[in-house]
Amino acid sequence: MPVNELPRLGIFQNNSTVSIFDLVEAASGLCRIVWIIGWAPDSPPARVLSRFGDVADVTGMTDSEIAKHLATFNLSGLAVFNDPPLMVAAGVAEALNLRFHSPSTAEVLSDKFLQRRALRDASVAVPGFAAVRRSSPDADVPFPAVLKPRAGAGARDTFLVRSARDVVDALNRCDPDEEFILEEWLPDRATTQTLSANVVSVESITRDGNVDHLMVTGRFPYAPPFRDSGGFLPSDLEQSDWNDVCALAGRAILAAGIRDGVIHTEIKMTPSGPRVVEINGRLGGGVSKLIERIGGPSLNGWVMRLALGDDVGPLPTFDQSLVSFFHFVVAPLNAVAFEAISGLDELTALKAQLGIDDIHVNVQPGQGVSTQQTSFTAYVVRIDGVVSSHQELAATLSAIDDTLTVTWAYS
Amino acid sequence: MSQIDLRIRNVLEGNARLLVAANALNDDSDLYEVGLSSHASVNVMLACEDEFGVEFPESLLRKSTFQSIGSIRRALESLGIADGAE
Repeated sequence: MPVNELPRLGIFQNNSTVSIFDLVEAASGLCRIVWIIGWAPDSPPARVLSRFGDVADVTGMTDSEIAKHLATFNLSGLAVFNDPPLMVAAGVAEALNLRFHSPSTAEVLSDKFLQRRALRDASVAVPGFAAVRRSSPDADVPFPAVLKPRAGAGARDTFLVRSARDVVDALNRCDPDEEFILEEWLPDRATTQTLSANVVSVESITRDGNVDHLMVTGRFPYAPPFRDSGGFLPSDLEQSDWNDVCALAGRAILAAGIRDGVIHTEIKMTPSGPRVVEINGRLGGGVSKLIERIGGPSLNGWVMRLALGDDVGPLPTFDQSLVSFFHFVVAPLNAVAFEAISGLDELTALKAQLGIDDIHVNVQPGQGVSTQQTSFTAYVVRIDGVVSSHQELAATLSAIDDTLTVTWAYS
Repeated sequence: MSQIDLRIRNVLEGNARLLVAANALNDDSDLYEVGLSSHASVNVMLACEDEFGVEFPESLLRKSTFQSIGSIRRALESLGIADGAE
């Protein structure tokens, strides 16, 4: 079908989401993309995006003006691939009668405090939590605790705090008007697992309120304080744990009021059982590539098809005997700039032996580094690959650590 | 080295923000391994279109097209760009 005759899908795009090429590949033969830009300050230039579809620049528009403008594009669906546009997309979808999260669900997905409350009200076990801000830092939450923005993403302004004094100090370093959530820190359970920090994510497909779980991804231990350092598929959970986390994700998704879309739920295995860390109303970062590497479909494409109301049929199958992974090298907490990296040639020479497909260096010598942004945009090196077992993956990670040496400038 | 290769290296030098000089790369060096970001790869695509006066068709709008100097040259050659070795 000529591209002009394909259904039009609006995608809220900025510079910290899935790459343009990946989205264009997923949309090929499926839909014509209408790139919605200007809703965030970090939009790619319209000139660039216009080579890959239509562009709707909504800079300076109110939500109702955005909906009115987008109505002229004859959209058949809306999709997001990161959290910031959830609210505006939900408002547009409601105005244009498109399939998406309702505004009230988008609010729950965008606000960690409201999300915790929705889960607790639905009897989903959650850690103790409270809303705090600089002007009212006191809360009845046991320490240690995690302080993070109610509407944050990645590791921005996220702190492990051990006392009320720590809370005050941390809030004094942040935007004085920003609202935070203080949440009881969840300990790791004792485990024999070697790869995971007991955090997993469940990718679920929700269709008209029916939830199916596609896969459980293991997450590598966080870089301090809580930065992503990558993940692997499938996770190394035992089958009974697998069943438990999927059941918990399903209850959490329904508690949040989600009816449609691909949902990413992060769960921590604690001594008291699995606990929801967060529900995200979109596909998890890096997950589409993980499943594609072991023979699964493009989940970016599935997001698009679900948004368009397509019948995606039964859940896809993929090779469970392989383990795909992505691994981030991120800056230490007190680093201010990247200076140099050595060992890249040696690691490249070992690619086939270690199951590495891609190595991507994301910085240049002298470039400043941020430990406040999500690892998906602020990583220094990203390594992707496929191995034949979790034991082999542990060996590959060890070899990467032994081979690469990064030097930093410190404050 | 062909004129096409030289022009591709010039495009990379101006748009790719690589860790190494474009002239130090081999034909099959993986540009993503030496620092080509997703965003920069799109800029490289546009700069190639401007430099060679072509428009990449949808079938070539993929990350792999811009993976190496060789893959970029092959894509351009498939669009009719050709010249002799220097």
